[in-house]
Amino acid sequence: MTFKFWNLSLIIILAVLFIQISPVFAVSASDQINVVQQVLNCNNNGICEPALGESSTNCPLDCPGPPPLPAPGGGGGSRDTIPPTIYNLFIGKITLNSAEMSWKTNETALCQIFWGKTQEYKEGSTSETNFYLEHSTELIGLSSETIYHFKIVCRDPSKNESETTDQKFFTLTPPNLIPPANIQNFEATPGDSQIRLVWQNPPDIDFKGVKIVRSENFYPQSPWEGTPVYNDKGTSFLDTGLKNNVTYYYTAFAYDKAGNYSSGAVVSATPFKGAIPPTISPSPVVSPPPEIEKIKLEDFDFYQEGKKLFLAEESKIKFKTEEPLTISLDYGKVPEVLKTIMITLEKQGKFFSFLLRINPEKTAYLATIMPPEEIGDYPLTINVFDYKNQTLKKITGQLEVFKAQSQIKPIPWYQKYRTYIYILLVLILLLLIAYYLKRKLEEKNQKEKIRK
Amino acid sequence: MRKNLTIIVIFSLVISSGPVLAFMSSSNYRIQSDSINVGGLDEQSSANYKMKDTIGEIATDESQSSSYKLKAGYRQMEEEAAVSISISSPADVNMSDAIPGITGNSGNPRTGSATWQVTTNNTAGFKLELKSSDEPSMELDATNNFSDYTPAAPGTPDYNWISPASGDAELGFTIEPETVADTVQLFLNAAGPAAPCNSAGGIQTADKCWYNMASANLEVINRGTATGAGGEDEVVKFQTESNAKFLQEGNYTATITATATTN
Repeated sequence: MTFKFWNLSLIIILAVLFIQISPVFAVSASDQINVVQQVLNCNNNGICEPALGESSTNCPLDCPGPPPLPAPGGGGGSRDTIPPTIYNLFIGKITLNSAEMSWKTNETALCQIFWGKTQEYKEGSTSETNFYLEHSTELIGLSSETIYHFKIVCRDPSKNESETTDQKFFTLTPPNLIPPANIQNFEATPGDSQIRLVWQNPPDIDFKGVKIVRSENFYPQSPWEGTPVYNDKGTSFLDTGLKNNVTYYYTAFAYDKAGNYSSGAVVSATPFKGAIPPTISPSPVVSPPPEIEKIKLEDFDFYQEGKKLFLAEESKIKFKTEEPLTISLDYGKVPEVLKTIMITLEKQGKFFSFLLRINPEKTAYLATIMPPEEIGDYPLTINVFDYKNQTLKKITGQLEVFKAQSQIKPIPWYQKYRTYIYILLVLILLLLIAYYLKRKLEEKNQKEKIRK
Repeated sequence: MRKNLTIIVIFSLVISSGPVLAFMSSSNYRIQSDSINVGGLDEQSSANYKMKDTIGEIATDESQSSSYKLKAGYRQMEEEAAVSISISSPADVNMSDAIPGITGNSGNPRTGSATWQVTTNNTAGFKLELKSSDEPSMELDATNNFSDYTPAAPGTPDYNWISPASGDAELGFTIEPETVADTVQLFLNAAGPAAPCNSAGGIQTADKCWYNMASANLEVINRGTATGAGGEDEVVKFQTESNAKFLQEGNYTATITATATTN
């Protein structure tokens, strides 16, 4: 026992001597904060509602005077259980992508409107933030030319709810801004004090007419320049009362029912008396500014059926007949002082010219023409004129017109002989029936012979 | 006496051959540092001097390489031995905007946040717990209050804040530790859109995993190492939303206690 006591004492002494420890207790630190949310009871609906906490202090618009005294007895009436009535729903201005609507409720209500392309109203919803008697909203970001369904849900302060039946409106159709193609084969034949004009109208289904304007200086650049000489949907016109030996410039603008004008087909002629027409000196060629000098055929874009066409070979564009061809030059590629860009097609020794006109967005010079009907190669010339009608640049190229491959399937060989095959099958069938009947008859006769 | 000597030798051998641990701990205690030596005193002082000494240690002193710093010896460790933790006192949180007491603010929750800076030299780090003083946490008086946020699955934060049901108003919170690895699992979501929270091995995503305050402490952050001298900025974000619950006008207050405890 003594020994054990000494052993234990020694161990404790050694532990104290040999081991210096620094115990660590879990320590902590705390902090407290307040999270404060302010709540205001004013709905600015023009009605003082002390029961909702509105007072002249917190809601001066609704409660302009001193807060009303509580009702005698403080009893309070029965709880409102009648939902609000929605009436006078009016769909106001409808645009391509928005619609305004207004409605009323017979008591103050907080309304939500849900809309969509179906009666599931998946496209969106909006909610008022206050209670009103008269309500209005505008739905924006809608698709054009689309039927929209919507419904209105209104809730009064007592949480009674009512909603409209399904309502519909139709957003506007985008305006037609695409001009018709230019007239084709516009030709001028001069005579004595007169010029005969002939052309073919474009195939656009909304084509309405052709306006031809005339000038003695240069081709009119718009339907409102020069002297109007023709405005109808015919295909020829005789311009009379002209001065001989004076060159007349005509521009014909085809237009559609929406009032869009084509870029203009141009022609010029000089009336004369006698057998020999006067010689017309070509417009002078002057050295162009550097921006014009560097323009090439590659700078022009050619589109057909909405697809861009690329140069098949150097200076050669391949496109289909019967489909309008749009020629475009980026507006920024030429200086603004530039007056006219004209494209000329040569067909069987005749020249047909068209203006490239700036589009309303001022992004490009454009012309849409109907390609020649006959398959073949047509020399193309693009002339750039300055404001003095001097030729600054002449670019040449070639248009190759080809016929679109029709998707007609070859007729199978048996379709060709279908009638004969039917006849043959019927004959075979008849022969088989005749053979069968003959066999039956023979069998019958044989049986009778045996019986006898 | 020979037997006593034998015991001393065996005891010394047992101690000296023991494993080297960063620290030794039980559920109640942790020994931050220990040393084997033959003597010394912690408190020796005169009118002018104070001395602490340790006798019998081998190869003490401070040495370092480009990657490590070694402080060998009991006294070298002493300056690190006193564990401390502190937490800052941020200002009260005023939510971003007032809520209309009649119509509420459905779909447009108000926001606010508090940042507690926790600093500790404790090599095992710390945990941060949050609790509110009342249930429901945010009250005006005994009858007017915001309910505590109700996650769709009880006990699991909602990845996205969900507006309260019609006629309800709620207060919820989420956290954003300075070191995302310190986020407890409850506030981690699995990677991917609308991933569930409380995902083991998940990620911490800002403004996700919304949960309710409670009057019992809830551990929201746990860090396994000491902080730097600048501490760790632990952000707690709050949101309030009323879906047309009638709320009496006034300032609704939730008193939140943040407690940082060393591990």
